[in-house]
Amino acid sequence: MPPVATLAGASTVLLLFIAGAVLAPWIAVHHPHELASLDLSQSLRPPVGFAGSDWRYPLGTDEQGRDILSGLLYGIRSSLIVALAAVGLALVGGTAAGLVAAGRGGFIDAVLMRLGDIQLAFPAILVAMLIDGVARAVLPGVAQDGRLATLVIIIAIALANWVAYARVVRTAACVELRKDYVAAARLAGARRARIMFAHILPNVIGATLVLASINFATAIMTEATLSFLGVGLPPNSPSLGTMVAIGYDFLFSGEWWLVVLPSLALVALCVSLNLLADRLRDGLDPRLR
Amino acid sequence: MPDALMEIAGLSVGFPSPGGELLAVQDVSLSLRPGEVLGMVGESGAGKSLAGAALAGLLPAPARVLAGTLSIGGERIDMHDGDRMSRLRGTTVSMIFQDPLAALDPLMRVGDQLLETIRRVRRLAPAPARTLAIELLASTGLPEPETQMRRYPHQLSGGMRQRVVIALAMAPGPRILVADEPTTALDVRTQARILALLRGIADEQGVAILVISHDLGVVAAIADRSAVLYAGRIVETGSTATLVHAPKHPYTRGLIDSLASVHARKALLAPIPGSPPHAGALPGGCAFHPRCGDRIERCMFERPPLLRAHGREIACWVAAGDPSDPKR
Repeated sequence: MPPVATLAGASTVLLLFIAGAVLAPWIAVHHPHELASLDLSQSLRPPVGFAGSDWRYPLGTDEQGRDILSGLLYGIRSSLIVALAAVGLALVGGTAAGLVAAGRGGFIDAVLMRLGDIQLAFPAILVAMLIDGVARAVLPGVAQDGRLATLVIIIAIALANWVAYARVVRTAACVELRKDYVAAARLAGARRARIMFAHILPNVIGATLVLASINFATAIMTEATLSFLGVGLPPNSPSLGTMVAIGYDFLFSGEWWLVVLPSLALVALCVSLNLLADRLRDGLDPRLR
Repeated sequence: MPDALMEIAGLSVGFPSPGGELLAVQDVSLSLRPGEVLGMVGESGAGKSLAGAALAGLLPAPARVLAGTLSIGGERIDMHDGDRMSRLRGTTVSMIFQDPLAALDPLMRVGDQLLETIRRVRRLAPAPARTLAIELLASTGLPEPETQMRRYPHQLSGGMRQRVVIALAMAPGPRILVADEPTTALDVRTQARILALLRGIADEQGVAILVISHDLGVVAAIADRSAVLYAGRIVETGSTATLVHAPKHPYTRGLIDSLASVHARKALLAPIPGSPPHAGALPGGCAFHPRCGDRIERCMFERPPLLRAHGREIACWVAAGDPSDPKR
């Protein structure tokens, strides 16, 4: 288990990030993608403490005069929304698939699980890119419409991650289904759906919550990677991945803050999430106590 | 003899296997009268649990009934008939499980589990269902039933849990109770109390109970009649007193000789040599003959049927002293 100080640090970072993301519309100097608020004369200012900095832009600005701090706040906001929705969707879908597989067994079980096996043979990021790509081909509006793109990327990440939940739930449900209390419920005339929802689901959900907490950081990284590659959120939507991609062009011309600051934000976010997820697992898994 | 409440005739249970059907229970016939406790004894793998599960309609997945008819209250039911069996299940026939912790949903208050059953089977409104649940718990001797209703299974002791499981089994008002190793997971003092409770249910409410146990002591303490199972068949059946005090079948004698006793400290417990046969490789003739000290030639080639002798039924050529046996 990580030491208390580490956990306190992780919680603080995470709370600050969440607060910043929630309050972004009120504390950011401007929305980084509102063209009217951009001032090209303020472009490429370094963070405070370096020559040519300006206190209005404490973390500097990019080549179009967008405030980096505002970009980070809105970017974290996008990351958290996408990750929360994608993990939630994968959790619900995967849990349902796992329960159905364990409860029905036989052919349906085999089809669902082999489908999962096939999907796991490909890296999650590749699966997400594939789904994202198909959606772009089918829905031409995705490249411009930020909301639609967000929805597509949420679904893509969820579809890339459901297998783990389905497997964990199926295994745990198979164990539970063999226990006598299930036989007792059948004896009392309970239907299969009732047994699965009232008895099995509460007994297997704990494991998926731990998985979801670990999966959360992965989902953030997947979104950032997709956006970095230019197939995630559109360029006019705030995203840490897009910021890193923009900064990447300036890596060799000295404007280091464009790439370092969003990367640091991503790392800090994911490390704190993982530390807290570990703590949650330690707390919930009796074998590790 | 009062009329039998339930009669099973020719029950066979098998598992499908690549080499053909594995017979785990073969041609078992049992009868139960109201208020009677029948004990079923045998080693692990003798088929006693499967026979009980078949009666309750709760056979585990690959196992299935191959043959057998069940007569309950004058009605004859083919035990193949899953629909008819599942209608009996949980109403006329109920079951008590071995491990009371596994038999209760760990994340549901015991009261809610009891209410779930009562409301489904008896279709009562919430208030009368609650009254009945408390009555049921009180009738099992559980102290402060109202308080216990709000507890989770892990907050109760083993004996208390088994009382809840018994209340749960009694909730539908069954006429037959199948108790599979009801006291195996409990300590000796609690065992005695639970057995007394089951005996009381049989005596006072006229419920017929089939007690399945590997422990002859448990069966001797509670059962009116007993049946000893070996390799899926009944080898000896009769009144418990007869079987325990004057066992005739060499296997029953072996079971009793291998019991440890506090009172008579035997120099050596006498275990039965060898181990029970696998259902896929039953020896020819009497299934017990390779382990039997009394065997005669006939045992190796001809399987003895259940014969009436010495005030019981017994499947043994030697002990039954069959008059048609030319060698005797």
